[in-house]
Amino acid sequence: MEVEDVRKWLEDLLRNLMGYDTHVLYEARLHLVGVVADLYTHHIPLAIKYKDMTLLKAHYELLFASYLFDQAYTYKTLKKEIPKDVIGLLVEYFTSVYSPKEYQDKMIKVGNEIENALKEAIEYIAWKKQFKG
Amino acid sequence: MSVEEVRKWLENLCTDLMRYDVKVFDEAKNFLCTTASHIYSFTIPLIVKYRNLDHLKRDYHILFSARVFIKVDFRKTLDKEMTSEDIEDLLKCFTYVYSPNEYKEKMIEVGNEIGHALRIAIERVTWRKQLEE
Repeated sequence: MEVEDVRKWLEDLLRNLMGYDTHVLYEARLHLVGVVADLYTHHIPLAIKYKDMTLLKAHYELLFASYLFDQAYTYKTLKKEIPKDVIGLLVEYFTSVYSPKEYQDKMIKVGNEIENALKEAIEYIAWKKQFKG
Repeated sequence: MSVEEVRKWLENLCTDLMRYDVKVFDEAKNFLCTTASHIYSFTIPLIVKYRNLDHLKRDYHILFSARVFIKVDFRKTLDKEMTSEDIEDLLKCFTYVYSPNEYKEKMIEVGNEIGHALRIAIERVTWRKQLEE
């Protein structure tokens, strides 16, 4: 798989995310950043103590997914398209962390994390609406 | 500065955070988790790419502040006091990342970060209340 395939996948993924309601994007991002902060606050001390970089990569798909929500939410709020250079940066982050032979597997994992976060967000919003009566 | 002093500081910090209003507390926690995940989503690719762990420490005080909130949140939700295991977990994270001669400076930085997050949270909660009225 090539870098251009990653770019194409990201463009499609972000276009799809921008189709969601702002509130859903906000809640999905919030859900992911909580999980990410919990994981990385624990993994970073271990990575530093044992000088082990593999821990940083271990859950990067979650961190990357949270950043995609962050960008989609920001540009949706601004009512703007996601600029090409932002997509370029996202491609760079993804390809800096993963090697070409990992791309496909990680793309699937990021996609799954996004799907789960959206599901959680939609459920949470529905629950909150019911709760408010 | 000794590990015992860090432990005492953490105990006081958590006790203090337990007293905050749930809405302010949640808002501050979300703000810190979002900021931390935002920073690390682009720091980690650079660290992995250049195989340089030095940058990992630079913003850890923000991530650590988020962890304090996450730990307190867990107990606060259960309406329980923080346990010695919770404090040990935080202490381990802090002392794995920082050396004894950094403790004092980093304790101040964490305190400032938490204070900043709480101030922002109070502003946001007040602003939302005004909007609702």
